[in-house]
Amino acid sequence: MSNALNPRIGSIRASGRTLWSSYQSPRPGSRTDATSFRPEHESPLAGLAVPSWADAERRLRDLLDLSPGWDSYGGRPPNPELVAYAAAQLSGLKTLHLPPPTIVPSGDGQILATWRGLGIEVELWFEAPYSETVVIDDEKSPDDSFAGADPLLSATTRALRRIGTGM
Amino acid sequence: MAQESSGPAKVTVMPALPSFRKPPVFEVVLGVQFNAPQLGAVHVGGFHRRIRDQYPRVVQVPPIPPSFEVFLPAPASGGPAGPVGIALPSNAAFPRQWFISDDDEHLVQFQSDRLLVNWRKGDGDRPYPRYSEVRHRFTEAFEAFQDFMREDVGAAFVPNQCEATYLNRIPVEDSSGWGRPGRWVRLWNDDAEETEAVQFSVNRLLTASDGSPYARLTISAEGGVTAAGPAIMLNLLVRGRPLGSGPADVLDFLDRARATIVTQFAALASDEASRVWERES
Repeated sequence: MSNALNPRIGSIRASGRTLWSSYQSPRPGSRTDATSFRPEHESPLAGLAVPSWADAERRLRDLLDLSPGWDSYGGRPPNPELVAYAAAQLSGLKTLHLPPPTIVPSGDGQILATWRGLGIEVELWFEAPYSETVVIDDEKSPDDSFAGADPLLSATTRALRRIGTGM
Repeated sequence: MAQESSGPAKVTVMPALPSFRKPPVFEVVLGVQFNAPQLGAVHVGGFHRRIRDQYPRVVQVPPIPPSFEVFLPAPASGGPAGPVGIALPSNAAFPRQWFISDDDEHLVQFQSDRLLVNWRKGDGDRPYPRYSEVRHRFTEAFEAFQDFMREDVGAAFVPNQCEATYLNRIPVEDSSGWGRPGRWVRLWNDDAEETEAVQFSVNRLLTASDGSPYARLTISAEGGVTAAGPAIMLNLLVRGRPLGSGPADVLDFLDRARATIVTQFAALASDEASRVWERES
């Protein structure tokens, strides 16, 4: 994903935001950032993430158990209300028969949901209840790439339908 | 009816709303959910001390999980929704407290991320004291809570959801079944056959002045049996995000929610029901 298409990623790199894809079993000293982060269940053959809704639900629950400094870099755990809000939004996507995301916390207390497939990457950042930003990078259809606020998840759902249906 | 919201600089003039002298309402709940501060057992007593004169009795019950109304585009296919719900546990470390008035009529519910105020009809013939009284009770508890947050907790109050619920119990005459509930509520036509059972729910979105949804009205009806006999439980709930982050925005949301509920309820009431419930405007 290029920084030109994805100013959000550029800002993440600049701010040193930390992400950790295996927060369930803390590994002291380990650290990933948005540059190197890849979903945990990535298929080596297809290059596609294959998480399940059950995984997403479990990971959301696990976010509630994070402690301050969970990433060994002073990481702030997401607030319970943000976890609940993200769960409500993702429940809505689930009811729309959209593919499940991979869930990771960020060091500044936000929650990231990611989808990858068919040349499309979607990063949905939950910053606070009713405040989220989406970054969509569509290699095949650059006009459908998007970065910005998406309060009704309209752009997100359109991109996920493209991932889900291959269209 | 003109109604003023609290706050010295903000006056909201509400349009005239339908009114019934004897509505079938048996419980009203006004509430706010907020960003949870770090609270411990000592805080329960700290808040209760502020409202103990009016609500001396205490009961501990399980907490309500946090919930948010969200607004997504409708399914493009119009097909059936997928499996619903990602369930998260509530904060079991901080139970919900019921602070109850001596006469059992009023209830303040308090947990780490919610404040709810109930009016309850109970089993007797207690008259509904009207919205103004329930709102007054909510405002008192809400102000006490804000003082508590500021003075005892030292945390900012940040509301993230508000809700208003009216629960109605409509007795139906036919003890062998549900008779003709359409006699009371305009939700269905049962002129041809007797209704065997009642259970349904309708959602509607409420939009702000810019057209964006901010809350959802849920109307649900279900048959039930009370001590007085069979009845239709007709519940109207409005829940969503306040249109600002201040205390006045919470009250503004509740006033809007109440106006929506009362208007919808009047639209649902049949002509006969309006006579029995003594509609006055």
